[in-house]
Amino acid sequence: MTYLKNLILTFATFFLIFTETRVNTFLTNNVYFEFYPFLVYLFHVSTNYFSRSSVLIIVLNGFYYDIFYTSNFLGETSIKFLFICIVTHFISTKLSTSIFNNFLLFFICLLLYKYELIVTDIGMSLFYFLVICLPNFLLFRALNSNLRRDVFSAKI
Amino acid sequence: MINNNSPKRRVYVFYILGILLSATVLTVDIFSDKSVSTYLSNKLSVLSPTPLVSSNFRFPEIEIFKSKSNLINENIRLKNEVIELRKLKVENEKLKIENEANKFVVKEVDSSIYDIFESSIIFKTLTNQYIISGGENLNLSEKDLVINDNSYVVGVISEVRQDRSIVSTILNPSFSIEGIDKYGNEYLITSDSKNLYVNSTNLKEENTDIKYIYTDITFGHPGQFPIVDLSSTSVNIANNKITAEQEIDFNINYFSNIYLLKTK
Repeated sequence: MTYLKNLILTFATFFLIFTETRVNTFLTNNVYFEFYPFLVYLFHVSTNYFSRSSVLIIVLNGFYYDIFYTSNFLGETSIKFLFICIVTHFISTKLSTSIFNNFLLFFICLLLYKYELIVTDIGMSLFYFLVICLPNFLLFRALNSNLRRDVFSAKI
Repeated sequence: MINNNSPKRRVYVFYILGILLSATVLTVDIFSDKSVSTYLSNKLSVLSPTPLVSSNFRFPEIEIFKSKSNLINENIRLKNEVIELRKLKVENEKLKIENEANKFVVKEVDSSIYDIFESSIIFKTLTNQYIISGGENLNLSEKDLVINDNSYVVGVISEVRQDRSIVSTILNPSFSIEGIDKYGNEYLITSDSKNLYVNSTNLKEENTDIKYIYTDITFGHPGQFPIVDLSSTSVNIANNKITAEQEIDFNINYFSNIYLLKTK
C-alpha cells in the first residue's frame, strides 16, 4: 500500500511539474507573475513532511525534469531539489514558527529554486523574486490550512 | 537528547544518499555523453506530450477558392494574365542575360534550398529557455535557426531531442550568434536579455552605415537572414572595432509565431 501511495504521489508530482512549466509558458507575457506548484510541494515536504519516503519521489522528479525540460545532465535537478529540501528543513528547525519567518524561508527556497537565473544575471532584481514569491506563498498557506482539516486525519 | 535527534539525522542521511545517487547518475550521464537521458527521453516521451509540427510551411499562403462562381472569375482573370505574361516573356529573355552577369556579384537567398517548418512553444523552463516542437524527427541539429514572422533570427537551437528542441532565444543571457554585414565585416552578437550587443570580430571596412547584420554560411548557418537592424542605432568605431547596442524590442510567448529553418 505504501509503495502504491508513493507511486501515485510520484506521478502526481510529475503532473505538478508539467502543469508548472505549461502554465508559466502561458504566463510569459506577465513578467511579475509566475506559478510554482512544485516549489510549494517541495516546501511542504521540507517543512511539514520531511521523511525518507519523499527522497525517492524528489529524485525521480528531478530526473523527469532533466529528461524533458532542461538541457542539463541527468541528476543535476535532483541534486538541486534535494539540496533545497535539506537547507529549507535545516533553517526551519532553527527559526521560530511565524508567518514572517515562513515567508522568509519560502523566499530563500525560491531563490535556490531559480538559482540558475541569479547566477547568470547577478544584477537581477530581488524585488522581482519577492513579487513572484508572494502569490506562491499564499498558495502554500491556503493548501496547508486545508490539508490540516483533512477528514482522514481528524480524531473521532 | 541524542535519541530525540537521531531520527532527524537519519532522515538527513537518506537525503544525502539521494544526492549521492543523483550524483552517480549525473556522472554516468556526463561520461556517456548524455546517452542515458536521450534514451530515457525517447522511451518515456508519453510523460510529456508534444504537439505535431506542420512541415513545409511556405511563404506566402495560397488563397483557397470556396465557390464555383469564384472559380470561373478566377479562370477569366488568369487567362488575361497569361496574355500579359507572354508579352513579358520577351522582355524577360533580355533581363536573363543581364542577370547571369550579376549572379556572381550579388548573393541571393534562394528559399527553395531551405525547409521552413512552423513550430510552437511548448514549455518555458526555469532557466528561461524555451522548448519548441520539432527535433530529430525533422532532422534538426544544434545551431539551426529559429525565425519570426519578419524573418528575423530570434533564437538558435541549443539541444535537439526526438520530437522537441531547446532554443536559446535573444532574451536569454547566454545567447550568442555570429553575423556579417554588407561590407563583409564579421560580428558576434550577444544578449543580456534586455539589450543586444554587437561587437566586430573581423573588420574589413570601417563604416558606420551598417543597416543589417545577417547570418552567413561561413558560420554554419543558412545565409542572409537578418539578426539585427542597426539603421536607427548609433554605431561606434574605436580601436579598429565596431560596437553597437540595441534594446530588444521582441517578446516571445506561447502564442508567438516561430519558424524553424533547415537547409535541404
